[in-house]
Amino acid sequence: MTKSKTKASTRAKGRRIPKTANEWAFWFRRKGGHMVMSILRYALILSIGFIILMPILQMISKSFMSPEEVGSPVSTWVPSAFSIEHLFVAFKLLDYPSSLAYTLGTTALQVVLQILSAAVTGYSFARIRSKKLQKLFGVVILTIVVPPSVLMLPQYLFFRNFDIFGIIKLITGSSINLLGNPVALYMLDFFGMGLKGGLYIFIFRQFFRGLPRELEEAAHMDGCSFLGTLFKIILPNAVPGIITVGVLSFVWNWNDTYYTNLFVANKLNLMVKLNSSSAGMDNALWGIHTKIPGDFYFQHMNVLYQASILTAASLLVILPLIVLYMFIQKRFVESASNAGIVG
Amino acid sequence: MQETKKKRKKTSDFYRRQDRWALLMMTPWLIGAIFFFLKPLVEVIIYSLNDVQVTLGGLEQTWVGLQNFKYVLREHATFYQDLFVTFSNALPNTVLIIFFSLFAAVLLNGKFKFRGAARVLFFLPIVLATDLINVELVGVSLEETGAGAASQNLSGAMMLVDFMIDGMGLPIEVIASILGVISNVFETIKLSGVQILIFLAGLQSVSPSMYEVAKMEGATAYETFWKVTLPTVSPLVLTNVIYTLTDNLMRTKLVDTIQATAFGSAQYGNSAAMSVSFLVLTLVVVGVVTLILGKVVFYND
Repeated sequence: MTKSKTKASTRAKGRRIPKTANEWAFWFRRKGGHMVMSILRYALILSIGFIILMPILQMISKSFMSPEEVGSPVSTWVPSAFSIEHLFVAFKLLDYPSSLAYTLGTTALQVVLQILSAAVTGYSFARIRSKKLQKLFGVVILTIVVPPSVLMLPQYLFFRNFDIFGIIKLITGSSINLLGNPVALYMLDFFGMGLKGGLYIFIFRQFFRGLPRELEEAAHMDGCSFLGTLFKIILPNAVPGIITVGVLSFVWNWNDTYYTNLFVANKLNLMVKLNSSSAGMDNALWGIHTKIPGDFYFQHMNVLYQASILTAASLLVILPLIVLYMFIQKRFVESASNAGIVG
Repeated sequence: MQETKKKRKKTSDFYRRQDRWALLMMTPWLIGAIFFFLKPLVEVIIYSLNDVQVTLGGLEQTWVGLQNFKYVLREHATFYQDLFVTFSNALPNTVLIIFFSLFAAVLLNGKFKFRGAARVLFFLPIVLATDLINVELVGVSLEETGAGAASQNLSGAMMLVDFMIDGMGLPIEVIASILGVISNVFETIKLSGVQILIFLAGLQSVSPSMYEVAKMEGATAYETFWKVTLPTVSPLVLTNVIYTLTDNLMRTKLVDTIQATAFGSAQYGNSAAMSVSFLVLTLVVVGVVTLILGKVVFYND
């Protein structure tokens, strides 16, 4: 009897409406905080998510809008009549199938080269014990900090008159011009000096420092060579790091305009193609007017029309990235969160 | 006894061999660093002190001392201004991005429904880190507003601007700053993908026992954040600040000026002087920031 009474009274006490500020704070800390926080969290995530998605959704909506409707104040999001004209013209403008294949190929090769060089270099930096050589890591940091545009002029001249200690000149009589040749990019990537190469070395080094040395010692005891250890034991354990670096490298190389403008001036690269056609839309559109069916709206001088075509073309350029992300997102999010980018 | 000695010998042998191999595997990078990084770096400094002409046979250089720098910093029409704008934009942007990404990482680190989906969404900017995706909400530049080009581009934002001008009678400066803040939100979110990723990885490496201890000791969520979470991720703040700063600086339009000066008007010496001024300023700013933050950072090891 007494027992239940005390229980009831405590319960009543627990339910009592807080009066003083302190009591409110206590109640809030126990109950309200949680609820308010979760509402706040969802609201924030939804609104930030909307901000992230909105430009893409807008691009999609603009691309599928019929040309007559663009600029009409009535339809801003959902077009009243769908049309693939913008996408079709952009498709022809970019010469999509061939330039997509070319860009995919070169970017994939760059990614492989960058992963390989960064993984090997990062591993070496993580394991080497000589203090002097460890100090060389400062150069890696320097390559991260120094903007690539600073080195533009010497690199440009270097690749224009490319030569290896005068050997090539000795054989063929003149140096090679590697400008406009993706080989220059592959070379930079292979030697770890490609786009954001320093950052990848940094990521891999941090990652490998987290792996226990006993792993390699054991492999050595069992008679595994250094290279065997690297390729059979270390790299299979580094899959999260490889995925993280691979995705970053692919995306950044794909979106890069600096190196591609400098070295890949041939017009097959998607970004170069997009940039060059957006610089002179009138001519670019006129150039393909024979490929456009007669019943299309097609006004190659109309500024609004040109803007819509550019939007559709941009959508086509980033489409592979979206598809890639859809496929890899789960692995990427997992790996990135566990890749040990943290020191 | 002999067994352990043998073992130790074998391990030290292993380490020596590992060192040799590590050096060997590092060589490509070393070659790259010398030929594609250090050599160009020295060259660009030499060019900046010379009058450079590109001839058929190669380069023709005449020593001019600091004259290129004088020209670039004092006489060039836009360079000095652009340089100033680049840095005065990069610093506040960095602060904004760091705060936002830390906030977002903490948000994503908690346990809640649809966490996976939220992470996928927040990492999307990494994949779409391109200038192709423009901010279309604001979508209207202020010049257009002033010129009254409303008839052509009547989007929702335009109507909002119109409403602010006509309906609320706000002066155009106020509207400009509002638009600035709004478009900054987009820029900030667009550029914080990698930083969120790094912070999130850091937050996940905080051992749960730390939080348990804090909870047992009666710390509130607020106190836990300041006393446990923040110190543990503080080295990452340094990493992230440097990354963000350099990333922001690389997005400058100075690149176009440098490129145009070199390849457009063949003033190679001046272009090199621009590069060097930009580089020196970058290194100074990054160095100072590193020094300041280095004092605050807490290392757990």
